[in-house]
Amino acid sequence: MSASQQIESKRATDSTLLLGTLAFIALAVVGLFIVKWFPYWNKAHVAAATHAIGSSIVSGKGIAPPAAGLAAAWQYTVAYFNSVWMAVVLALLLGSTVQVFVPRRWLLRMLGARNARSAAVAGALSLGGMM
Amino acid sequence: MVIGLRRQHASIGSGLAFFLGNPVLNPATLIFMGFILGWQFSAIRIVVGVLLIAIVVAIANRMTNDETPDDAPAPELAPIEREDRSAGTLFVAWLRELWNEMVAVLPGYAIIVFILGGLRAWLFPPDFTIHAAGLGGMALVSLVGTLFVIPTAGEVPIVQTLLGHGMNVGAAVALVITLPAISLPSMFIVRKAFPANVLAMTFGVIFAGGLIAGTIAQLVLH
Repeated sequence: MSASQQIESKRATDSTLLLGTLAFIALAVVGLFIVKWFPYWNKAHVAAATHAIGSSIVSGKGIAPPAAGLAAAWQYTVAYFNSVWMAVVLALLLGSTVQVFVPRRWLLRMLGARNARSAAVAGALSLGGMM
Repeated sequence: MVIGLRRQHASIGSGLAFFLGNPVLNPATLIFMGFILGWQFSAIRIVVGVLLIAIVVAIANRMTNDETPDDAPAPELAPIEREDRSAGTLFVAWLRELWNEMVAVLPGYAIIVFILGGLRAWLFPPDFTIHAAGLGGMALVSLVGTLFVIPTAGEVPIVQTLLGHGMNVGAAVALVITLPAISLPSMFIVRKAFPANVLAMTFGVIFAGGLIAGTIAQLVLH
């Protein structure tokens, strides 16, 4: 392999890595827009206008939760997953995509250090998750 | 997502910052909270939240200090970095990771949510939430808040309802800090992403944060 061919193949590799990372970012942005950002934009207006965003998931309108037991367990599980299932699906998709399509050394450079800077970057990135 | 980051060798501190920042500093929740509970609650949550995350990250990084990166095995490559990758191998690797995550996360997650949901009457008895006061009451509220699981922004109507029925400000602050931060299910989900002692420390810091912030809020804001 000549030097110029090596450079060619190096470039191809980098562009694939970039493509994989962009695919991950696109999934995150589109997914979060659908599941989080757009619904929350609307919900914020509801909160501003009515000073409420629904009743307490623990006890409804009152303050006493339902008696302990299977009925309460089932009712809570349904209410909880009704509320979070889309976010759970998106999180699972993002979790597997980041492992397969984002180059490890890029992620290491950004989040790999055991220091405050890496943690600050991670914390800042997490704000967009709104989970 | 945290599992994926850690499998990609993001540091423990970064993983924890992502794990905690996501719910505690969620901008949407902070805005709902401002409109519904009052902006002082959002402000307290930002200040205490940033402080608690910084403490957890600093302790975690110190706890794992002896495992220098040099001792750790060189990270293997992500599938997309391998020479022999193709669209097919990437797709298979992606499906395998997705399946592994689903198996590791979903059944246990659902079971713990089911159990906690069934025990709501014991975790949130009105007598105790409404009349929680003093260090003991604040500690119990913080413990429940740290263990219990809620959907995103679920703490806002929960605390709104309890405040409406006379819960004191301190207990409300303790719940606003601890309810979203971590829970039994969230700790179960990341159980393999962090060492057990780091997770135990995180639990302790969040619990103590709720207790201390609640106690101070009670003294200052009552």
